[in-house]
Amino acid sequence: MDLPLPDPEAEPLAPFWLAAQERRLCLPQCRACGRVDWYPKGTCRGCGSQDIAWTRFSGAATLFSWAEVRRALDPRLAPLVPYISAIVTLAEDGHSRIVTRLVDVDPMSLTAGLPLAVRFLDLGYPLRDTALLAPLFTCPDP
Amino acid sequence: MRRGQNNFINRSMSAPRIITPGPAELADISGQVAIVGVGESVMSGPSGRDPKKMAFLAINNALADAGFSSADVDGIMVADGLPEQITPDDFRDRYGLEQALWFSGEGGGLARIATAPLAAWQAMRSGEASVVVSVLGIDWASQSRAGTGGPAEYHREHAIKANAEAPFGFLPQPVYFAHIARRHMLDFGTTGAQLGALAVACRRHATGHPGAVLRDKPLSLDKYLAREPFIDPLRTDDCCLISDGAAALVMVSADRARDFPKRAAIVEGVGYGGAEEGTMFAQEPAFTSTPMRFAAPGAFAMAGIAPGEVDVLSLYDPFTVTALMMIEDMGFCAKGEGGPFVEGDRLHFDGGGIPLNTHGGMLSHAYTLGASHIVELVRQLRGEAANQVEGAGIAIHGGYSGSDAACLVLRRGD
Ligand SMILES: [Zn+2]
Repeated sequence: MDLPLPDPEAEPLAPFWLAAQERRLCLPQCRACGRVDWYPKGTCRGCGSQDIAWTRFSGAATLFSWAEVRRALDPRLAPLVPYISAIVTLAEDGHSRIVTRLVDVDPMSLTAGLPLAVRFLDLGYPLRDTALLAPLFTCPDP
Repeated sequence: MRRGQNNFINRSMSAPRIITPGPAELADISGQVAIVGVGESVMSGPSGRDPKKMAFLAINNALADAGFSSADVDGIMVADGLPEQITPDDFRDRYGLEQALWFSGEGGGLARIATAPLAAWQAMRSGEASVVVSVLGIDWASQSRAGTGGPAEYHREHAIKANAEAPFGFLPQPVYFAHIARRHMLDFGTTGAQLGALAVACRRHATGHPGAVLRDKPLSLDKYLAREPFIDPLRTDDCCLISDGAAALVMVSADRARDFPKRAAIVEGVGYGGAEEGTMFAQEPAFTSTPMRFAAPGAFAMAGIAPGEVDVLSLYDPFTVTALMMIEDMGFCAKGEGGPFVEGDRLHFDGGGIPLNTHGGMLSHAYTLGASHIVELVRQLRGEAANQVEGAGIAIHGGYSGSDAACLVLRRGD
């Protein structure tokens, strides 16, 4: 079974996936207060401003929560097993929560607030080739 | 009225549900509505049974329980948005009747079963209905096995989830709640053994309940811990069943409460609240809370009771951690103290604490989305439950759907 692929051209998330193909992490951000508008609402969750623009982020993040999936309940995800599903918080906005996957990390080493860095890898890394780049996260280079 | 004509529907069955974050202001219906009949179908795993047929079996049992015939019914409530729920035409066809039927999608199960008495009361007050049946029939065990539907379907087909979550493996619900459980553990020191205490309590109750799907599958804490997490930190015993089954209840105005063969359960309070981010759990600011924190205070205030006065508790329990969070959000203990609060046998029907899901809940009885929880509370208040809590006088249900939660306070009738 194939992995559940995103539609990189589907609004409102198309800029996220199109940027990822160029190895850039882009998210909508409030120009008034800096809060990430994720998932896109068009009205800032922090200040109510509607002055929101797609913005490039550094990819520096910390670990908010994670789950080690050893058995996939959705058969499309079985090719990834075992994998570490994660929610990370971007360095630029302490409220932000980005769903991603952790790669090349030891599950036993994970802690709340662990520093992470984005890596643009195939969405199916390391087990499948999907020809689509995705922002996955790992420990930053020392 | 002729069949299919002018069925009153209090909200379009196809309109998307609008959920406002925070607590809702609800009319005070304390002492106004009575539940006078309850019934269920057989509960099972994949069975190939038709959900509407199961629903009518539950209705038959609930009507018999109340001493009503199908001709007495003039109102029907289901959970709109769920597939294969009965319609007024189904009801008339099934019983060969022609009566007008008030029809509402604000019942059945999920969060809104807890506020169904409010919608029923509004129909009673306006004269649109006097005998209201709420029913939920579901064949998600069969659908899941066949790959044709089930509880993950909504999440699979959600456009944002499909583009921002599923590609990373954040799907379906057990993955969401594993993240929530992890964060509850990180923030408050909650342990796997404490989640296990919830699973063990529900299983103990199921083993004492002849209708529970897992009645023959006892679970000790040691056995729970011996099974490795499959979506770490969740074990399979932290996740609810997927079932085929149905449950129904019959509501009337409370001034008729004494006219029935069995003791009525009187509705004393209802409350409702919405989440900030709907079903987008990853984005919910109160990550380790549920909207029960908005729903419960209103229900308790309407009933004029405090958590300490509750004799029996039932909670929508898709996962152990969901019930744990709702125990905190209802105020039985402070946020973060749920782990120590549920340890040992404090949730058992005879443990001297606060008995939880004394039929086994969705974890061990059946996944009827909370409908069987209400059936169980009514039986507890009558004194006829399989795992009877001695002297049960006040019973509380917490309903939940992820994006909203609702709370119902029931009192033993005279
Ligand atoms: Zn802002």
